[in-house]
Amino acid sequence: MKEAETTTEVSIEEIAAYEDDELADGDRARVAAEQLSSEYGRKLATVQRAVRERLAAQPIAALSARHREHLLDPLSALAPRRSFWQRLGATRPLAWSGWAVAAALAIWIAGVGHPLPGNGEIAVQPVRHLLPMAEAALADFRKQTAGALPMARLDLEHLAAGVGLPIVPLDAPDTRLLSAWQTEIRTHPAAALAYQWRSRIVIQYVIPEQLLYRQEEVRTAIVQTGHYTVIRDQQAMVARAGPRAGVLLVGEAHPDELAGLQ
Amino acid sequence: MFKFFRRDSATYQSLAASHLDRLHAYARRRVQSDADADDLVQETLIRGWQRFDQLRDVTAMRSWFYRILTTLWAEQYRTRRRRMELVPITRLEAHHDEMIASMEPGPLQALLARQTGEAVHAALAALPQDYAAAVELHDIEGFRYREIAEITGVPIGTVMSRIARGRRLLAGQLREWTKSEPARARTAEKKT
Repeated sequence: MKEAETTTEVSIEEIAAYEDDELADGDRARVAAEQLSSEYGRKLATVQRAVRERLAAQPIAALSARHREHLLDPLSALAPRRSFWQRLGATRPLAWSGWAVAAALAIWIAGVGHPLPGNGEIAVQPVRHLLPMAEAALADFRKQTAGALPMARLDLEHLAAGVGLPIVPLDAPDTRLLSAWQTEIRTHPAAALAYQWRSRIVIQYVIPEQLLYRQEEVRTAIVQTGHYTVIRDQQAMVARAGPRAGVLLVGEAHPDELAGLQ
Repeated sequence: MFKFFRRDSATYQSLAASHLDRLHAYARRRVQSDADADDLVQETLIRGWQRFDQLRDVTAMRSWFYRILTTLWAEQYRTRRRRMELVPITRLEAHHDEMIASMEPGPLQALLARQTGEAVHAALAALPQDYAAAVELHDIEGFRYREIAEITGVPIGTVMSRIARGRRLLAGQLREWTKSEPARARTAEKKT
């Protein structure tokens, strides 16, 4: 009975904090007097201390140079950050005219409700870094189009079942499905559909929704404009939502043109 | 305290590089695959760069990175269950209490000492995330309770509770595995 009473009074949280030296002096003295005076309290303290010491010895593997390079790769494309004074300097005097044009354009856009006149071009944000998903899709596109495309396999139902994603092929004018195959984007199962579009090759990747929406800026862009676009070198990628899946279109074309392919 | 530092991309990259090993190891323990851990670290670095202006004290950069990573993880991965088979907490607590009741200091130290890094990693991975994260941030990463509260966005009392209970569960988990070792070995022998 006495041991049971002692047990209920002991606070494992306070004992842990005592062992971790996280208590104020007054509390330390109280815990030592009240909680660590019982055998049960001392045993709890022993377990807390032993686990902490074992975890402190847990090895942290050093990453390989290649792995480090891969992790830091998105930073290599970072735009140099300019100081406030540099930014202020850049706004005088010539740049003020640029601001005036930008303001006029913003007013025009607000009034008309369409980003650009005439050709319906969409704005392409400059690439500060390439998100892992985009990097993977562009790399796969380069790899696939460097040699012969994978063997034609146009049984899309079978492919959809294999990747567990609904596949809706492009139905735009001048597009012809050449081949389709199962692949992976960032270790997620994906379907790849290669098309001849005019004189170019475009690959449509159908990917899981969770991969598409993983990055905040992709989510924001899709909500605001319906798609997320990046362009690197001659290749562009347009990401958009499909039926219960994400769609990445990659090709050597302007993102406007890719976005127009449905 | 050193507070003034260049905020250019070269400085950022060199500062980020110095935290990479530990940050990646922590990320790897939060998600299920190497690729997901890579993504999480890369996105942490990108978001860190976007908010580099807001970092007031370079000496706080390490906990700042962990806070960003924890936020990203919560946004992106928390809803996808990392652990498909969470062990019942009450069972582990019972193992811990059994250990306490029959404990001599020697056997506990020996039990912990013979666990490999992989076994400890697996035991942590079997715990509820909130408990495992708090214990790891303190015992492996070396953060103080106050810093863990900032990183995880919970009151310090909650951190205190998660660390104490997390260690209790971890001890229970390791004891359970140790107890079942002879049975597992016999099963393996029969199969061979």
